[in-house]
Amino acid sequence: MSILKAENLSKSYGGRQIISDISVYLDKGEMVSLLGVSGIGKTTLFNILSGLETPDSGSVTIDGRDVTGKSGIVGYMQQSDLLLPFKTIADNVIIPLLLRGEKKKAALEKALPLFSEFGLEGMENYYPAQLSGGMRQRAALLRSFFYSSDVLLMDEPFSALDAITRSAMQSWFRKIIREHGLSTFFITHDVNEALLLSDRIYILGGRPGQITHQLPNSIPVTENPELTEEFLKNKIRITELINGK
Amino acid sequence: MIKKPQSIINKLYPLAFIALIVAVWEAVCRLGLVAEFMLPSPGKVLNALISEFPALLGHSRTTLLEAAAGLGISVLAALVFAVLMDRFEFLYKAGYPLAVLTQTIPTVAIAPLLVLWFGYGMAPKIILIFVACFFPMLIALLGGFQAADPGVLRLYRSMNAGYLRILWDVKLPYAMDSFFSGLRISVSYSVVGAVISEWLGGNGGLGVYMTRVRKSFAFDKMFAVIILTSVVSLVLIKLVDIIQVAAMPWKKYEKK
Repeated sequence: MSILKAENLSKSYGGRQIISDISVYLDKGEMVSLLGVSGIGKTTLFNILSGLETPDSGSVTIDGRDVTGKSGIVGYMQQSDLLLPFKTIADNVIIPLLLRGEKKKAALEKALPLFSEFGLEGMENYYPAQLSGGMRQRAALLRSFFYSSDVLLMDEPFSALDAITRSAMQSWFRKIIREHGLSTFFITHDVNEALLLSDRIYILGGRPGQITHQLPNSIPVTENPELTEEFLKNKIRITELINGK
Repeated sequence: MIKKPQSIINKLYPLAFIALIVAVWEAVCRLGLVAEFMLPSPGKVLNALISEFPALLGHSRTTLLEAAAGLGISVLAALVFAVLMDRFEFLYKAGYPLAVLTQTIPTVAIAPLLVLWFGYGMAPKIILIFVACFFPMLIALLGGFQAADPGVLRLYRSMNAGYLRILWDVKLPYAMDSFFSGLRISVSYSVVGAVISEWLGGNGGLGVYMTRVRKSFAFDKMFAVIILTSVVSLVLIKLVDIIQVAAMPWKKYEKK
């Protein structure tokens, strides 16, 4: 059963159509990636799915409820961690809980037990500037997690990290998502990332952007999956599809 | 923490330069190049500063009180107006040119008018300081609100946060850097503004004292009070720096 469903989304700015007739869905517990080159309308689609923008036509539903243009329902995470530099990690993480009206003490009681699982133990009272990029991104994920434990939208969440940190984050991330049964939809321009993290891949192409292909994918379970022949074959195929071959 | 020798040397440069100027000044006076009643020597100024210190202390108190009141009102008003102008665009459009206009008013020129309208008490002095300090504070705050990370603002909106929440959680903290820059300027404006307003009348204050010693041609005392005014401003600016460091503990971890 689809938890998030978007149908026939179109959007234009100043007479220029950015995305056209896009329909996507996300099943419960599924990890789906949206792959495409820069400037193809990925972020516009993302803004519509998260309710920050209203589409010119089409609709977004979550659990069958129409949420088109309604923000504040799905979790949201971006390329930069967007941690507030003047708040400690603990205070950053509990922002969604406070916004929901919880008392600070209760929010902290809820958040602190998860710090070790997110690799942030002992970092509670540090400021973001004191943490490494990977740690900050984990803190940002924990914050998104408190925002919505149902649907998480991620806009190139690991692209600002260095290659080694990124790879470690991806495998950790996969584990966390599965354990908590999160349904995630993430945008990426990195074919490797899409192959490593998704149950299903949408390919966005054309001008205006539309879904050109939809592929099933099985997340590799072997060590160093990026070096297997199958992985490379898939990568070549997807790269060709992106380039419109 | 041990200070790096380089930073100590950097502080020595301006001190050495000031010492040189004072030495030249003293030499000029001793050699009789300038008539003594026109330019008292640094030694005489220092003597005046010491002998007049108790009187100057009392006058400083009055001036500082006026400056504090004027600056306090300016900061509060700037906060209120900056928030309103940030929240309602039409207020920004309507109010901004007017705020610029207040900055173009020559304070020395309107001071006599203010005395005429509001008498010799605190009121005209506070108004003059307000005219000088309000604009830098308003600009600092409006600029500070602009400094808020647009991604963070979007994040808050995506979580359905209201304006007041965003103001308190995001915009005000992001504006702190800019706020303190504005405060550093305004603090010195407030002291100078208080002195100027006192020139035109009043019962006490460094400006009143200044007028009094000028009229009696006691230029050594005149210089003493000028130096004291500068020192007071410098101390206040330093105080703002100290408050800023204490108020923004995360800053020391951020890379330049």
